[in-house]
Amino acid sequence: MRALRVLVPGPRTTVEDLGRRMVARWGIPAGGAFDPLALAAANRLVGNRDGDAGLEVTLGGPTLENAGDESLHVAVVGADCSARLVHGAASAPVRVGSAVACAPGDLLRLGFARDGARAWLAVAGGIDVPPVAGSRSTALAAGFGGLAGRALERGDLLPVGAAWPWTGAPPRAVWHEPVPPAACMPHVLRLLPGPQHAGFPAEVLRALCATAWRVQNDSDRTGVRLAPAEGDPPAALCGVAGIDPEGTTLGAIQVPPDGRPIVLGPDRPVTGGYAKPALLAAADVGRLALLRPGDVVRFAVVTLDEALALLDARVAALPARGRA
Amino acid sequence: MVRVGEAAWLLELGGSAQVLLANDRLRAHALPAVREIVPGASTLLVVLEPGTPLAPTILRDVERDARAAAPDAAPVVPGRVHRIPVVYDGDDLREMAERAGYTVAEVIERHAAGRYRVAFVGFQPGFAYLSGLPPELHLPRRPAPRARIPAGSVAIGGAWTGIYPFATPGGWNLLGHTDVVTFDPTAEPPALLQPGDAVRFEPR
Repeated sequence: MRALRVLVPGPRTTVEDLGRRMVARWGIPAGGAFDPLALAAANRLVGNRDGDAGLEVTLGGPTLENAGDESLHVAVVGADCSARLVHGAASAPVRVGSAVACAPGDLLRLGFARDGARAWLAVAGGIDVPPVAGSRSTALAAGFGGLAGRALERGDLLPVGAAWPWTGAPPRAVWHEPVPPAACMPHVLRLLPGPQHAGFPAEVLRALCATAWRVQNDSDRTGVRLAPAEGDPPAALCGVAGIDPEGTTLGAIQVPPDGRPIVLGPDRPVTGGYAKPALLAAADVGRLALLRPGDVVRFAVVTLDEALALLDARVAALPARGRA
Repeated sequence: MVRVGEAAWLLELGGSAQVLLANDRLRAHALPAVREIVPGASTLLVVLEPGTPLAPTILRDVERDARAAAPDAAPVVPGRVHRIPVVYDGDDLREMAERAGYTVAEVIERHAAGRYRVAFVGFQPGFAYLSGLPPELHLPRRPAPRARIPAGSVAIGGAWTGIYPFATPGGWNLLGHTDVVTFDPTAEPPALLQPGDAVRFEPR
C-alpha cells in the first residue's frame, strides 16, 4: 500500500493538479495549483508527469506520515517551510526543490512558510484521489474534487499512486527559484494591458503602476486583493464602470468601483462583470501565488514579446522531465 | 477580437445569440490547442493550452461568421429544453411588484410566461444567466446584498434571471424557489443548464 497520513493539516492544504479544462460551460472554475509551473517542477523532481496531483500548502505546512509499506519519494518547492524528514528520533532538513525518500513510518514535517505564502509538495505516483470533472483539484467553494472537496484535516489518509519506473537517472535534480525575501519588498509584478484597456484612459494603467499596493488579509485562491499601502485608491481607479459579464483568466486584474484591484487566482468565478484594464504576465503568476497578506507589490508594464520571453525562460529553467 | 495575455483571445460579438453561435462553431472544431471556451454576455473567451500556438485565422473566421448572424439567430446546436417547477414565495416579490408597478400575481405571471435561454454561466458552478426576461421585470440588484441566499432560489438581477445552485451571499431579487438540483459534480453533465439550453418556469 502507498499512502500518506495527515498528522497535522496546516492552515489550508489542498490536493491540486493542473486544473480542469472545457468545464466553463458548467460554471466550474479551472482550479489547479496556483502556480502550475511550480507543481510541474515538484512532479518532475519525483519522476511524475507534470499534471499528477500533489499538495498545495498555504502559509504553513502539514506533517505527513508514510503510512504505507513502500518508500515514497517526495519533493517540496515554493516557499521555504523548513521541511524536515523525521526518522525515529533523528531528523534531517529537506532542501527546497530536492527529492528525498520517505521510508514507511517516516514523517515529512513542514513548518511555517518563511518567505512566501505557498509551497507545493509532490509524491512519486501522485495523490490518487478520484478525479471529478476531469481533475483531482479541490473545488473548495463548491465542495468537490480533491479529498472530499475540502482542505486536509488531521487523520486523513491520502492514497498515493504507483510510482513510474525511472527511465533515467535517479532523482538528484535540485530546483529552486529564488523567492524575493521579505526585505526586498516591494515585489514587482509585470503587467500586460488587459482586454478592456482600449476603453480606458491611459491614467488607469499609470495609476496601477504608480501605486504601492498592500496584499489584504482576505486574499485567497479566488483572488489576491490589494489596497494602497498608504492612503486612498488613486482617483483614476475609482468609479470604473462594470462590463457585460465575460470570461476571466488567471492573473487578470479586476478593478471594482472602489478602486481596489483584485488579481484573479485559479478558483476565480468563470465569468465576471468588473473591468480588467490589465493582466499579469503569465511568468509572474508564480510570484503572485507566493504573496502573503501584508506584502507590498508594485506593477510594471511589459510588452507581449517581453512577457512571452519571461515565460519561455521560466519554462526552460524547470527540472528535466523524469519521464515523458 | 483582442488578445488577452500570452494564451487567450476574446471574440467580441453583438449579443448572446452571436456568442452562442460562435461557441457552437468553435466547439465543433474540437481543437486540441483550445483549453477552455467561456461564453460571456457579448464575448467568447478562448483560452489556449500553454505553449500551443493556434492560428488566429480560425478564431477570426468564427468571429466574423457569428457577427454576420442576426442578433436573434437560432443556435446551430439545438439546446435541451428544461421545465423548472417554481414555488413563487420569494421574500422580494412584494417589493418587486411595487417597483415594477404590478400586482404580485402579475409579476409571477410575467416571469412564468418568459421563454428563456441560457446565455452563459458563472458566479458559481451551475449558475446559468438566463436571457429573455420581459423588460418590465428588469430590476437592478438590491442595494445591500443578503448575507445568505438559499440554494434553489429563483431570482432576478438586472436583465437576467437565474437559479442559485448553492447557498451564497448575493444581491439579486428573490422571486421563489425550486427543488430542482442544478449542479451535481458527480452527474454527467454536472450542470443541468448549459449555454444554449431553453428554460421555462412552471408555477407550483
